[in-house]
Amino acid sequence: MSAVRLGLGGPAIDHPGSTAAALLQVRGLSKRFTLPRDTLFGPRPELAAVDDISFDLAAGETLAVVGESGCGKSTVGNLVLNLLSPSGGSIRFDGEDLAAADDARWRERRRDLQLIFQDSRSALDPRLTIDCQVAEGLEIHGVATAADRAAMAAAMLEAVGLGGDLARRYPHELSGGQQQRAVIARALVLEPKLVVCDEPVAALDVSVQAQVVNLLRDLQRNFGLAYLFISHDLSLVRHVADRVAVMYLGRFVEVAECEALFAAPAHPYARALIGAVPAARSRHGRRVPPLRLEGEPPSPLNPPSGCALNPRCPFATDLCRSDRPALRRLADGRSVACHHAEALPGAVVGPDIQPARAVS
Amino acid sequence: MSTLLDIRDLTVRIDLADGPVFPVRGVSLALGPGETLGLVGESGCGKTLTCLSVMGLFGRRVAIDDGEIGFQGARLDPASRADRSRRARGMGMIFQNPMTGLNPVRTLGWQVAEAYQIRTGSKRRAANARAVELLDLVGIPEPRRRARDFPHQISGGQQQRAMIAMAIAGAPSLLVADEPTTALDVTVQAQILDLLSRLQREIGMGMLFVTHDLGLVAEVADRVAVMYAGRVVELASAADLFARPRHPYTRGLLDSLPFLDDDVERLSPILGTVPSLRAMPAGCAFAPRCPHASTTCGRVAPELTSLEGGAVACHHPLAVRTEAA
Repeated sequence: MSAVRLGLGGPAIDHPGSTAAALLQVRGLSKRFTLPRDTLFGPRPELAAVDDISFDLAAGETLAVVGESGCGKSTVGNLVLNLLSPSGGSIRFDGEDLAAADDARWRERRRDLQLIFQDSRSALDPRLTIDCQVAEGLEIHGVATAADRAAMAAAMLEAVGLGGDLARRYPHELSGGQQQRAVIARALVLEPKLVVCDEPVAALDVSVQAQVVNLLRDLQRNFGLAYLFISHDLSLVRHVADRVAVMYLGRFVEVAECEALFAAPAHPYARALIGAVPAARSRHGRRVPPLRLEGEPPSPLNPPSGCALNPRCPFATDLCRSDRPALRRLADGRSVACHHAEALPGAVVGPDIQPARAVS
Repeated sequence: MSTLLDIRDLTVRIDLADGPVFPVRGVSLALGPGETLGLVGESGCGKTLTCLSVMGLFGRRVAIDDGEIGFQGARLDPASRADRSRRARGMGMIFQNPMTGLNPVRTLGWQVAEAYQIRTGSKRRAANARAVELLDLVGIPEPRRRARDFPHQISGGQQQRAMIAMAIAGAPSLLVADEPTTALDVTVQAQILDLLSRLQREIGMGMLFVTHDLGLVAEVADRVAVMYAGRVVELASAADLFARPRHPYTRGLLDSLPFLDDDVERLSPILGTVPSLRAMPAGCAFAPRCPHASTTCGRVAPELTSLEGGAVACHHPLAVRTEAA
């Protein structure tokens, strides 16, 4: 492994969403997909799935990426893992520029970068028992001897609650929650440093969801894992994340500490998302009043000019329609891409002003 | 209050190659006109099958094994043609996935008009005109033009609106909404919920609202029935259910949800998993996962019994939250 070539402290500070010692440093990441022509000789339409995204992720930290379907949050995860190659920007992991890495280098690095999929059933090989699948990753990376690998797999399965008899089963003999545990065991047996969790519990029932969420947190604590946690479930994100990035149409619109964001989101889109969470999901009533957005997310093929939210935003002005707001840092440390973040009605409730709460 | 929908002891049987299974067992529910009854539970608990029983939409291997369904004061006979048209006139249904619920080779206007014709028996020309009005009513912009569109030409939210237009064409007295917003984004979900409650007020229809989302059901429903493994385990007003869950399963569900404003180190999951249809416990289906289970629970299945304004099927219903915690 080559030495760290660049100090991370200096330039990282200037970027939104940075932390002190970043394990993962993403700068200006973009992904454009070229689509088939509409007409025989027409131009190939381009779709900007991810557009100029920068963030840092430290060891042991959880950064959640939230947004609606099609906003590009899964693409961010896939880019970080090199399952897609970026169209622009850089990804620096553990001091190494991964854009420059070739396939052989990626194979080595992949051990440190693992993925937990949403659909565990299709992520597991139906013809291999669980313990073989967990040991397979170790084998690919040439870790230890066969006997040791089996022991490591057994220990990992034990840690995720699939010990003993369960470890010898085939995926179809397990419940959805157990399958997801197997996927987690398979990712973590390699002792990765970063795990991209793409909707890890969305396919599970609530009662089982909590089991898996607890497991993910325990494993993070025990192994010092960094999670890039992609989800659309905001109350879950509130529970697991340290920082949250809200994404809309391929861009981050707000990046903030978890507590600050959920107490008082600054961007209108973040307010709409958090305000749409049913009141029953808060113990003390809503802190963020509902904000209704007009219409539906526009097609990323044909994004609006200026701020992407402007056709739906109740606060939009001429400035929003003409100029795209850059992600900029506010006084309290969060980053927001909105021209009017400070001036919006009911904007950022400071920590000293308690919002009205439902009286029980 | 008269009863719009009256489900009594409904048991649904599915005939599989290796013998029958009973995914819905002895469900009784009643719904008044204009009322919203929420039906919540995890996947496989029988909530969708209960809806399909009401609508009479069963595949070949599925049948009502026992019990009956009353609609507008009279029993529905699954075999009778007259009752089938009574259902068609009086009930509308919204499905979870709008793309599979709409016919891909017919225009939206055609499909809404068809639903209107079936309910009202009106002529095609009148139905076509009404279809445009209905598309407008559910908030589809430029309804006259959209009526000539096919389902794939519009977004998921608009598709769901079109499906709602079909379901409410001819003003049915009962709307069955099976996870109507699950496939939609949250900002669009809020719009659809607003639409449903507005339509319900205007048409005065009763609504059976099925969802797995406990938070959502609290917003939408007047009363909530919680289902587990084919049975209703608790029935209560929405407010009571959240403030004072009486069944350990309801309590477990609420505890396992993370809250937006609550800092807990760990969530409290319900241990274990839902029993399979082939291996239902003899007594209470929840007993193997229940922290309060006694030997009685393992032997005798508890009946749904009234308790302080609601009903609960449990031998050891929980006291109010503060004492139980």
